[in-house]
Amino acid sequence: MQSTGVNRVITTTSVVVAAKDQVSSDLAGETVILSLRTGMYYGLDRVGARIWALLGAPTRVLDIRKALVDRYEVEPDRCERDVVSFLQQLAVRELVDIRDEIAP
Amino acid sequence: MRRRRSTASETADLLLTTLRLHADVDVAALRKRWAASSPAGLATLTEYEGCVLWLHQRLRELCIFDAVPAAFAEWLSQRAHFLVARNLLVDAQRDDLVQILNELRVPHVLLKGSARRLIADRYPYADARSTSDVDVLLPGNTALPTWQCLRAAGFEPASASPTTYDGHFHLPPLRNGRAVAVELHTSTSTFVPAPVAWTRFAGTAQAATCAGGPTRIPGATELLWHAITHAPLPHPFAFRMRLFQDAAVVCAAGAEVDWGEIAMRLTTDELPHRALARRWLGTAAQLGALPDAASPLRPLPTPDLSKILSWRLGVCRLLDTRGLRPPRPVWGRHPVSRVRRLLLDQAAQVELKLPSTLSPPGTPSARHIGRGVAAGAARVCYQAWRLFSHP
Repeated sequence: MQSTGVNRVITTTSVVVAAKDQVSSDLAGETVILSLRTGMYYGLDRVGARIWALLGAPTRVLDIRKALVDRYEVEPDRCERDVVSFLQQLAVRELVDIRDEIAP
Repeated sequence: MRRRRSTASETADLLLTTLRLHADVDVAALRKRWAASSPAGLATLTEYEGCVLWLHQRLRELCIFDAVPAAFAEWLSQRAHFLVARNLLVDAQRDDLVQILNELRVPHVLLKGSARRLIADRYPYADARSTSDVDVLLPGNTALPTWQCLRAAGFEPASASPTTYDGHFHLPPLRNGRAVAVELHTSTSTFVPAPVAWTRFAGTAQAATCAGGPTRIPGATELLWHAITHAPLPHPFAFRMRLFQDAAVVCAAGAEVDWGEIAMRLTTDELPHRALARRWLGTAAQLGALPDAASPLRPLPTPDLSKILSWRLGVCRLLDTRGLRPPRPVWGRHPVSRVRRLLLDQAAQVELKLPSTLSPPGTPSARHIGRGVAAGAARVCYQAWRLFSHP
């Protein structure tokens, strides 16, 4: 099952992947995303860019959290809340698809 | 006690030093200079010069972005995000076009921004410039059938009068639902026959890959040569950073350019303004450093780019009452925009000894005289400034 996820609750077991109708580019460590559907563009800072890079392939929220905790000095709980909040913002803008599990 | 802020001359030199693609950069000194710089007029200047992405990337890569005065840094960052988003749209159009050309089995070589966006790994900073459309070179005999295939696929002529392109070196631009024009070229210049252009570009093209599939980009010699021929000489705005960048990145990369071929072409009728083209290349080379192998070109004239930028920044400051953001668009028709461009253009004409820009045919005589008087006044302003600041 797959959804753009606008109204879906994202949990640590959710699997998230960058949506198809967007393009993105590195901008000196940051990331710019352009929605080809709406023409709107968005800027991500370095941490957001790191998460975005992980979303090139379907990735569990848990794995994103682990990658960030390994890389930055941050409490796992705080990291999880921030990641879920960030992903929810991406989902509202239909920049990511949310799945229940990685398709075999 | 307040610290002295930098003058227009110092800030212009700082901009130039930062943009130069030389390896021997004193990063610590640059950091100090940016921290003490006055950004007044700099937003307008970088917009005019078309070097927003270049400056943004340079400051980031030298790790001195945090030393830039906050308001200018914020403007630069926002503007860079916008331009990158715009480039992404152009890239998406390029990818779609490459996919179609591959499906049609039409050989092609990407040109200009579309190509340069794919080669930053070989030519650092080649992609750090804005791109507005997709240009692609095709063999002369395939251009029209391909244009018609694109029409059948939903592309429409972007111009209301496609017949004005009869005999031109590219077919009428096409657009689909995306606001990015596609231009199918048969040559890169009015002065180069289509078969010659195709032989040159296809024979030396480099392989590249985009989301649309495999494609080709020009080799180093043609990249540099196209940068020279694409500069709109003898117009003063040919002497802007955005246009120099296309040549500077090739020089700076130490790419395998056939310098003898470039030197030979600089003596042919392919360039209607040969002496000016040498001056243009000499200016661009200051930003990228010519390698030793470029000896067939030497000596190249090297105009004082710092002085030109210094005047331009002074004008931008003078007409930029808020001190940071452009009060009027650089390229707009507002009187302030036009006065600014007049002052910038006429100074370049004096400094670079460019021929006068004539009024278009059919201009009423009163307007022609008015333009002449305004241009003369702008030149007097520049001469007076030069006498005062660079005696």
